[in-house]
Amino acid sequence: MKLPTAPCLALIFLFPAGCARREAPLSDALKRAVASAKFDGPCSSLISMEWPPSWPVPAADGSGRRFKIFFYPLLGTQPKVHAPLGEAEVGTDDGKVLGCRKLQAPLQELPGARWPDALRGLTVSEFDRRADRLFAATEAVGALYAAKAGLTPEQTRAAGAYGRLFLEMAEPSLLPHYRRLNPDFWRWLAAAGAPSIPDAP
Amino acid sequence: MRPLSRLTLSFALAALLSGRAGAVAAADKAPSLAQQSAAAVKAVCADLPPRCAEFQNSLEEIGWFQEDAQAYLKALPRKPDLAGLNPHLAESLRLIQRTQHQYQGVDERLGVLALLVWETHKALAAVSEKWIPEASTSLHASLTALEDRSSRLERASLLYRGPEASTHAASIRSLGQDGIAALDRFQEVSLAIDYSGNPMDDPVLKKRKTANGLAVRLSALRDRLIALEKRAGSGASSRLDFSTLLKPDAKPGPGAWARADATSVKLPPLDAFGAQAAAEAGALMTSAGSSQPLPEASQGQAGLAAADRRSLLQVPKMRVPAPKDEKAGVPDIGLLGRLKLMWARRSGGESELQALRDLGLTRVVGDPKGRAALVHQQDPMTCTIVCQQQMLTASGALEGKDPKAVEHSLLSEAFTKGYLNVDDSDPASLKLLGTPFLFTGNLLKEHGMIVTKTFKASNQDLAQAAGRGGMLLVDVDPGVLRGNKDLLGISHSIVITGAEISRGDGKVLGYFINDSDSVPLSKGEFIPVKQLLDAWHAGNSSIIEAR
Repeated sequence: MKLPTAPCLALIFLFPAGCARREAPLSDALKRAVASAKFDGPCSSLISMEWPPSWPVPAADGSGRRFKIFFYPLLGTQPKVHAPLGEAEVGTDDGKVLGCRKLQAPLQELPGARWPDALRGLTVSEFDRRADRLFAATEAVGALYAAKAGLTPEQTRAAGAYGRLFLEMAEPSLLPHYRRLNPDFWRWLAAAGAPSIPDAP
Repeated sequence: MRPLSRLTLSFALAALLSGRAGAVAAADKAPSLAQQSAAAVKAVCADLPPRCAEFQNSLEEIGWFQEDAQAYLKALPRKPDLAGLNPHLAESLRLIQRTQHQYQGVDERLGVLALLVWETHKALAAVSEKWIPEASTSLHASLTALEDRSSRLERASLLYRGPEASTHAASIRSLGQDGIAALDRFQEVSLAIDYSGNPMDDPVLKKRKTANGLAVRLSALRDRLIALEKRAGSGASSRLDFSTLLKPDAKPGPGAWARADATSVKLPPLDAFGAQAAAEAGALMTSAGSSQPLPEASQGQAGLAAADRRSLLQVPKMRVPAPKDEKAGVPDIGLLGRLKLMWARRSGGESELQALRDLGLTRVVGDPKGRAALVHQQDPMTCTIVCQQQMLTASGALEGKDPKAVEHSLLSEAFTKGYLNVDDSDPASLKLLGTPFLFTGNLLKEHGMIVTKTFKASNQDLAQAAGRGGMLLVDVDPGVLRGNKDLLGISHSIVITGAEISRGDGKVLGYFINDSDSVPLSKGEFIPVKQLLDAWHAGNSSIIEAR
């Protein structure tokens, strides 16, 4: 439940319109699971610490609580994105890695900057806030995807908001790799009328 | 048997197990896993002749492994024998990883090979699970006895003179040999814990905590022995002299308290790691470059008991927080001082820190100034190696004068031991791809240091560790540390070389770091406490300490 902050309670009679409501805290189970993945379970001996994780994508297991990520190297002082070299599945129930593997692929540099141009002006804390929203939206859309039921108008809007936020935040050169994590999810998202990652031409 | 240690249980393997294990159990008269594996390799060979030799080699290696491991399990000693067990566990994990790659990358039918290894691995792991607590308890008892002997020798050392002194020296020497044996046993326990499952799971964290306690006692015992030797006039002046004296034939490797000359390790050519990258990094090198001699011990800041980075002997045992001691040394700052501090506190942040410094209300532990000279600009993806290099150089375990050459030598050593991820698609030009978390700190162990790894550590754990005055290897998110969102999500190893502490309440105000990947090079850089803790917690909040 959203509650006004304490000072607002005192001032609400004087300036009822001026009091912002405190936002409900976003779930951070998925964020924590993704952040700790490379130190957990089999990933701890397979994935280099230097490889950042991708954003999570709902897995196809139907639970709505399992997500897939990949890990990719960033090299150079102006870090260049490289094709993923590791992959893992994490669960939000206990934040554990459910599986992990190294991908057998040569090092391959990908073109372009790490983040989309629209994020260029953001500070780290502004970026973090958006990331928190994306993690929360991913958990929510994961549940909708797992339900495999028709979406209400509100759920459709939520799926659309997720798709827009994802494309705003995802590394442009890695989009095909995000699609590969679970093509069925992206097809489902597109069918729900939300922005999605298109099939490769 | 190769020393490669790989802890690998992939979800593919898990799926394989859950999917196939039931089926295997249900079919009593089904062919054995060994027979199924042979049949699978034969079938895949028919479809993929060019890679047939590779699969047959795997099958053959698995056969040897099974034979060795089964023989070991049949004649299992009654007492814990981790030294005998660990190599079998390491080999099983290596084979699981290899067969898993063949299964995932080539043909699903090869999954049965992983299942075959997994069956034996489970039997070995069950023994390890039982032995680790037993070995820890036994080591605990041995250390208690050694500590007791050490105390008696300390008391006696005040009495011995003349001919009796030589008997006394022999007793010290005997105690030292038993200490070396205890260290070997500790290294075995530590290695077994690395193989014993998910490093972040509570049971493994608990075992590691017990082992860390043993490590602290072991290093304290070593320090007492060194002091005894000095008193007895043996002339030991450093950890290395001491260990060389005790174990003159010791060779570098797990369990050896010995001098290890990094430049003597025989390894792949340096060019293999990317000569161009090395040259670029070399061009960025600053004063810690090849022409600079190893740093002399420095006094650090005024009033400090500076840690001698060349010798673990002189690392001061400091306590943080220690309010009583702290308050005893707090200068009287007078009314003006208090007003200045009050005003600064209202502004907060750096103003407060500056006011505390101006008023002499802070002190530094560790030796950030002296240790600053230990860092040099790293090659790409070698942060963990360069951090360990600094700690080894500080302890006197490395002697190379050209830091770049030593870095490459350690890199090659880590590569040979399987501690690195490498792109070997072009054998003529290997590309380094970083270090997995579990292998961080292993080079320190290999060079005979007593290493404690603390995972999921708290702010207080970090403050206490820094307060002990040694160097700490920690992982941080450089995106958070440097406020650069292009670097977010990376885990980057740095060395904490000291901490600045408030004299009033013992609170840590900030940490000094050496960051080998920053441009310009970060040497003894002060990072305010919140900034460092945020970056540290964004990583894995681990502390690796070597004694």
